[in-house]
Amino acid sequence: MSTAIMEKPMANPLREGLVDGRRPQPFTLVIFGAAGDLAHRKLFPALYNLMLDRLLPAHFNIVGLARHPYSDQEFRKEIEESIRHYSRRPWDAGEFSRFADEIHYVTANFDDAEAYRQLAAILQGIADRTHMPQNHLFYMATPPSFYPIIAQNLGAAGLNKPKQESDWVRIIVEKPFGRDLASAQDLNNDLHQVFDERQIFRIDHYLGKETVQNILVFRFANGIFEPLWNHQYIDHVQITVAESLGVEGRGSYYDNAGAIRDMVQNHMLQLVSLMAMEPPVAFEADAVRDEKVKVLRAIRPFSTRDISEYTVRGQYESGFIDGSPVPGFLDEPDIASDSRTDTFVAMRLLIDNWRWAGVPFYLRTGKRLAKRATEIAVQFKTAPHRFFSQTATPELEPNVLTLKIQPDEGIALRFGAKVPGPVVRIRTVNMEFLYGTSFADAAPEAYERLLLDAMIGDSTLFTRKDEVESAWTLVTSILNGWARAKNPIPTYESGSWGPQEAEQLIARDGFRWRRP
Amino acid sequence: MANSEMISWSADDLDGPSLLNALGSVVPDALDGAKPIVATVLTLGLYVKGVSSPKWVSLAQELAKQHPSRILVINPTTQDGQPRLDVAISATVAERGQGETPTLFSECVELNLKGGLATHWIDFLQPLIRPGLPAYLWWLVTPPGPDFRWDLLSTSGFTHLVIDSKTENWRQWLPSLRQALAYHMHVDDLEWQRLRDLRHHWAQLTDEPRVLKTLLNMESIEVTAPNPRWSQWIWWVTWIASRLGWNLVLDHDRTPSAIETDLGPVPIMVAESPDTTVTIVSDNVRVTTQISQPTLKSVAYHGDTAILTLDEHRIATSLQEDMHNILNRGHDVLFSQTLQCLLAAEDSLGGTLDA
Repeated sequence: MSTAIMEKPMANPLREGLVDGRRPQPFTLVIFGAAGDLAHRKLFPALYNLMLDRLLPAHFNIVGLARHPYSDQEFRKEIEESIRHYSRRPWDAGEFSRFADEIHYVTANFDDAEAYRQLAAILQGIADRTHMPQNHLFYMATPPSFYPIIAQNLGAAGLNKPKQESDWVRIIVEKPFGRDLASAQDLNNDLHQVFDERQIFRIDHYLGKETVQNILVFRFANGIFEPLWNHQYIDHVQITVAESLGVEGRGSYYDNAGAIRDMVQNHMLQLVSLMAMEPPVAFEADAVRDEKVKVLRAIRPFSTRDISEYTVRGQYESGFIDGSPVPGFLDEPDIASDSRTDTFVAMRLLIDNWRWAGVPFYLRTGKRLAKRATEIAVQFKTAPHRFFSQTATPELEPNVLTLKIQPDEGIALRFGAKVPGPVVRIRTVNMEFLYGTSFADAAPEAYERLLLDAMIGDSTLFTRKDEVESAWTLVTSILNGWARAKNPIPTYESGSWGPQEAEQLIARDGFRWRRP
Repeated sequence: MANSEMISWSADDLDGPSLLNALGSVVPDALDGAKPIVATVLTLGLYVKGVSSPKWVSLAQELAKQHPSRILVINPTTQDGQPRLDVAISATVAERGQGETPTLFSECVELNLKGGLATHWIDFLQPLIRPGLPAYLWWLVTPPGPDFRWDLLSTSGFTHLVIDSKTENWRQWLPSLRQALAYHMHVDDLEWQRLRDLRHHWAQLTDEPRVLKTLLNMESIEVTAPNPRWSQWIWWVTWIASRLGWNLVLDHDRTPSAIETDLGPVPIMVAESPDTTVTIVSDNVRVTTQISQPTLKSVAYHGDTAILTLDEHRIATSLQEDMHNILNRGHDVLFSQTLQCLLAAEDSLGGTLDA
């Protein structure tokens, strides 16, 4: 028996401290579904912009795999077209000539074992020619039903493990990650048969947004907010993700998902966990994700009665957006005429832990609402003593801290100030910080940050298995409750802020929804 | 920046209080009395005494278009006469939505100082520095003399000193940098900023275990350059020594001559050549990077056999872009560590320094 001891790869001292431009090691990106919309609109432009920012290594390669027939040359042309149309920075022929060392394309079905042998041969060929480490990043830009099939085939072709200890193999999985708890668990099990958890990067593009990442910075890089960030000072929290768009050609997908799967299970519960989590011991992947999972686990489960009382779903009817008439959800293409899919969800969550006991978190999301706005509003308790009650301003507005995720990204603090004059009259004023005017460089797209992190191997901004399953546990209980309910789904006029029932949900606790 | 408006104003022979009044009123007057939201996040002073090229005011205005900042171009012209100044203000105001308060994005203030204002410019600048925010002083000329009031500068509000060591006499800066550090100012160098792609290139090279092994066991360092006093190689070699926790050895004119490694001294050999290269050598392995403007080309040889090549395109940056990068990224702690390594090497020379 061999007694050779594997030498642990030594850390590179020249990498230390290069925080102003983290660059991954040379790698090959393999995109399954490379001819699809996600690759076209997001992935290729993100790669191009990373290259312009000199955040990619000198040597990297792209291999596309999809059913659409392309030659390597046609695929390169397709990448060029994508960058021309969707890159945030203009296409430049000189820069594009350096875009990737090698670009290959495999036309195949995802369940075709021969395609994976062909892929393995291409990857080996690249390694033989470049003498570079065999680092492989697989990106599943396909419908979710193909995830287990692709993973299984990668495993069968021996592409799931690095060739040497110093190499790496990672896989990025797009949402939706399951459609309920059982399917998410099945998918996790399927992936884990082939990949270790540390190799799996589940993407939620919301976490790539600068303003979402700023929630952690705002909370934990500033000394003044965290002492107030608890049930003693915070009255309640409102999280709104409002879209003015309808289903926009995604009717068949959306009719199977609805707002709760499309928005709440992933994006909105991510926002809740970032807002409510305890400080992690370090800004490292598992430390951060441990704390996020604790929040999800502390959310009070819904009883059947709670679901009818503290969740509201709705469906948009026809109406007007920006002065133009728009159809109702049931009249959209690819929507079943008797669909009970939710295009609006509002709910009240309670987090049963020391910090948040008794503080309601109100969540609201929907399509065809009055305006596009994503924000988190933290309403503080009013001053304990009504010192000014005998003055011209008997009622004081509570302080509200608003984290604006999009558009008009920034932070606003509402507080009372004295109106100039001989009597004490108080008016609410706003103190605003605007992202757009406070920094010189434009923020990168979410996919740029997330792709780079996956290349580097930093999974802080990706969701872990237990995180996904905890979120599905909550959402699945609501879905089951809704499935049992036979009452009609409330409707709302396009261009409004949702059904009346949503107003009643929050009014029962003595509050009103904010107008973003 | 979309939907912005430039407001300009100038006057000659003002006194200090008149300038402060002007700074408070120029923009509201142009906006029919509306007071803008101030978005500036830093102050940048450009000390340009006696430097006419490049066009510093144009450069400052371009930086002001990018950065939400108050930029002060400080030009002491004459110490004679009354304490007066000639001033030109250009303010960039960003319009927001209809009915919303406009935002003062940046101001560029050209200050030609005369008399006592030229002599006591630090005192004069204090009320012009945005309080509570980072304030950079970009010193464009030869370093200040030994009598310079670093104590006054550091308490004036300037938190950062930025120099450009791309000069033959940059070693003259070392005493001043010591003073700035002693008064707790952050120090940055544009030449270090320009070295960024070479540092990343070497970080990438040493990802390869054979190159890393060569680095850790190197027996000599070779440098060629058209001008051997070129400061970038000094930062490169000092950075390596600092990263590896080794000591730098300087010769009498403060040029690195060796690195003291765990395995003994590694000599640094510098030669004049049309090509700019840096090389490390160990046990029949040579890793060389050829540095030119369009590319960085590296080859690692084992004997006569090339075992690794790495070519990278370089970004040519302008002075404005270099400064933009420093302002945008903030102080680089890595540079502080590298500078400390160099200063420690200078300390070990004792009193034998050439002036």
